[in-house]
Amino acid sequence: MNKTRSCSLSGVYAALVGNKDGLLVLHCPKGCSYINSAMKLASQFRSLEGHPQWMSSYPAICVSNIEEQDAIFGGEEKLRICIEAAIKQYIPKYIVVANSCVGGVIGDDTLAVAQEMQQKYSIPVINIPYNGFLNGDYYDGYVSAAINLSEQLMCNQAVVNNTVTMIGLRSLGLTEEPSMEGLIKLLNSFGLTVKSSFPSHASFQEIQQIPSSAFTIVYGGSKKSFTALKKIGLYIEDRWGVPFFDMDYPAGWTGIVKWVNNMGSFINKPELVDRIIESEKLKLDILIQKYSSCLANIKVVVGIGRSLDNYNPEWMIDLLQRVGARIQSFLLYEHLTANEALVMRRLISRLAPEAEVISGVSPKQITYYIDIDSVGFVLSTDDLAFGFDAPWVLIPFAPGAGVEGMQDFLEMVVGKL
Amino acid sequence: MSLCGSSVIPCGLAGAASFLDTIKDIAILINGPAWCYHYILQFLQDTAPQDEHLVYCTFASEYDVVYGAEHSLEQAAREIKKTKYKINAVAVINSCANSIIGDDVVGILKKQFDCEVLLVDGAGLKGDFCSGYRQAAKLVYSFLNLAKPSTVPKSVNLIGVCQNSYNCENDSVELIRMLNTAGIEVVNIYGGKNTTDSLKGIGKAALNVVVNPSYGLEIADNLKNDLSMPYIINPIPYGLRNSMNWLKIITSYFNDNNYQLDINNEYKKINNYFNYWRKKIIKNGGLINVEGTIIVGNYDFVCSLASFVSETVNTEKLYLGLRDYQEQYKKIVVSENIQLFDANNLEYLHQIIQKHNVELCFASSFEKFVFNYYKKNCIHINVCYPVYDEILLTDRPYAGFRGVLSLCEDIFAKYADFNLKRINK
Repeated sequence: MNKTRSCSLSGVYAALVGNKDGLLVLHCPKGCSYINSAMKLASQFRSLEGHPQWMSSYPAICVSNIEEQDAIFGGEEKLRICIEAAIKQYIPKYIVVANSCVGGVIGDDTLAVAQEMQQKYSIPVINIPYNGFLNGDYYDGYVSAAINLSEQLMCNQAVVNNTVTMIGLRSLGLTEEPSMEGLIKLLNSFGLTVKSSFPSHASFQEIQQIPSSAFTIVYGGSKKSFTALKKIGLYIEDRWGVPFFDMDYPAGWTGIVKWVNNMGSFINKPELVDRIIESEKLKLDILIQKYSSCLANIKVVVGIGRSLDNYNPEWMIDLLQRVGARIQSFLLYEHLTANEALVMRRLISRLAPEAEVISGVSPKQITYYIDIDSVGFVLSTDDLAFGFDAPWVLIPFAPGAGVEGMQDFLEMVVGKL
Repeated sequence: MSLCGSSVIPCGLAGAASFLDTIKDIAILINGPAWCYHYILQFLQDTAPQDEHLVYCTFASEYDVVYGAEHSLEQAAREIKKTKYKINAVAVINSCANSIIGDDVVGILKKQFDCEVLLVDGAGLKGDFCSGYRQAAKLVYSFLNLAKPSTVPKSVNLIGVCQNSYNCENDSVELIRMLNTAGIEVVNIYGGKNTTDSLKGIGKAALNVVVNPSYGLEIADNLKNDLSMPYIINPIPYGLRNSMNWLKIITSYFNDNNYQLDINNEYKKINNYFNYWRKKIIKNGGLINVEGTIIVGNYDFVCSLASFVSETVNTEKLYLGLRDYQEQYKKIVVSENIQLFDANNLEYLHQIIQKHNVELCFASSFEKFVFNYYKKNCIHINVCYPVYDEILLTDRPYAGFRGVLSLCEDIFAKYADFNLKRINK
């Protein structure tokens, strides 16, 4: 029983976020599109804070509106009508068709319809070979959309030195985008600039020109997302000859040191490595000094409901230890499988041997397990009970990059104290 | 119906869960994928974060869809049995894919539970939020197997309340307060917080008041047929005159004028407040002047709110966007200055906002975003979901007498800023 399996439709949508030239056609009941439009809307209002330029750059979403009778007689004709109406209404430069679980169960041939429409209207109509949650999840949809966009839209280009394409930027409303500032600064310190983003937040022209990048990097944030997004980088390397930097963005101090060393070797500038690490260390020392005054000796409880593949707490434990916070206990939430809990427990025992680890905890009932009055604050991957009466912080889905990402995290914690 | 454009209304699955979630001793089991479950749970938590939601899931996989979900249903049943709450029924809501494969869900689960197992099938494929709500409401009604108890004089049920409507809880409290002022007892709110036992007492009321026909009319019909309970359709009132009429319709049914003085006094008091502040803020103490006003929501809600607008706003054109649009509504609302349209037709909505000078908007964050998109200056008041740019933490109603003051506060608060932008433009 997989309690966290997502839907490929949302992955396809995430891949197209910020692509104003594209059009997403969902072959599904109308209600499914509400989930995407709600995420889009929430994300847009949040974007006003940090990325106002994203306000008007979302792709149109059209829905074929499969209903009960279509489940009996087939919904291909509805998909055809939907694509044709969408082309006339929005005049997109390309269309991506994503199929739902319903379309999959009734066996609609979305590929045939997409090919027919591509031939008729002479614009790329890309079919994603997944059916909602049935044979794929969020990352399957995301990666498939990216690889198909790459195949159909990119063109061979002359390489522009020292430019980077960032793969995997996601902004969906359900999750907050981790801070990119730290990564961009590290790239700049190597004399590199981020030229474009792919597959999301890219215009038709920008997608075409991605093969001109000197190399690509992945903006993952967890083992699971990095493993998935890496497929896109490897595909572009194989198909368009753009080298792929095979490492996720740096989170936590150990991650920063490793990333800087690897990047120095990758772009053949090892002479910059020591200087950059020294400069980052200086920033970190200042940061630690600043936050130690608030956080030293404060008792912390950490609640984890994500598997190690989705969330590695190593950087966070290291950071809390550096500022002198005392991690009293780790609560492993009940929705982790036995194996996921075991793997997490082993890691925690290695990183914070003095902390108590309790398994099978409901995030809504953590007061049964800890003495709230003695705890300075709680960090949790899941929402706690309404009215939970102690300072607590929701751990972001992905860590912030570089020292700046660590600072964002500490600021968030101190803000709740 | 608009084929293109994505929906701003949640699916039938959410509608069914919304109704079932109000009954505290019914466990909800989503027989579908994790994605649908998390979306439903988030939806319920967003609108009632303080409540415990007894929602479970089979976490269906491709295997279940191919070979049947028996194993997953049994596993979910074991999870439900662990609950510390007393469960009087388990309501299964089949997701779209699971409804197509046709498992004998009730048969499988009846072996697991002593209590009743109810099935809402294919709500997502059959219609939108409202249709899912109705499907679940009817199912629960059948399960209750009601008998007619003795009637409580001067008492009513409010039928068709949907707790996941915007500001519903606060509006319900205000309606109850108004009814109590008029000496009328509210026995039950069908769609409000209940248990199966409290619902069984619904037959005690002397009258059913259908406050939202889209959600409650069928239940009122059933109650009339089964228990000979009379009903009146009297949608939730917005605005002073509307609220007064709403109360008059109910009190006149009971032919009781003993409380009329209290009601009149409240009416006068609120009217005085309203006029005082209007004189303070609006030139010559008149009405707020705007070129166009848009109201979005279900038919009854929109018509009721339009009445409030006519009391407070001088608008040249009124655009009424119906989320439950039907062609027949166009025949009911006949006026040159009023334009009715299907709020789900997003292209049309864009056209109205882009091409016309709409300066006052009662709608959701969705419409607000469209105004922002076209950089249109507008007084925007959220009155329906989805809402992402504000949160409800207080107990201010929008409906009824006190709702008039809340709505006025909100409009006046934004009016000065709106005028400033109008001048700068």
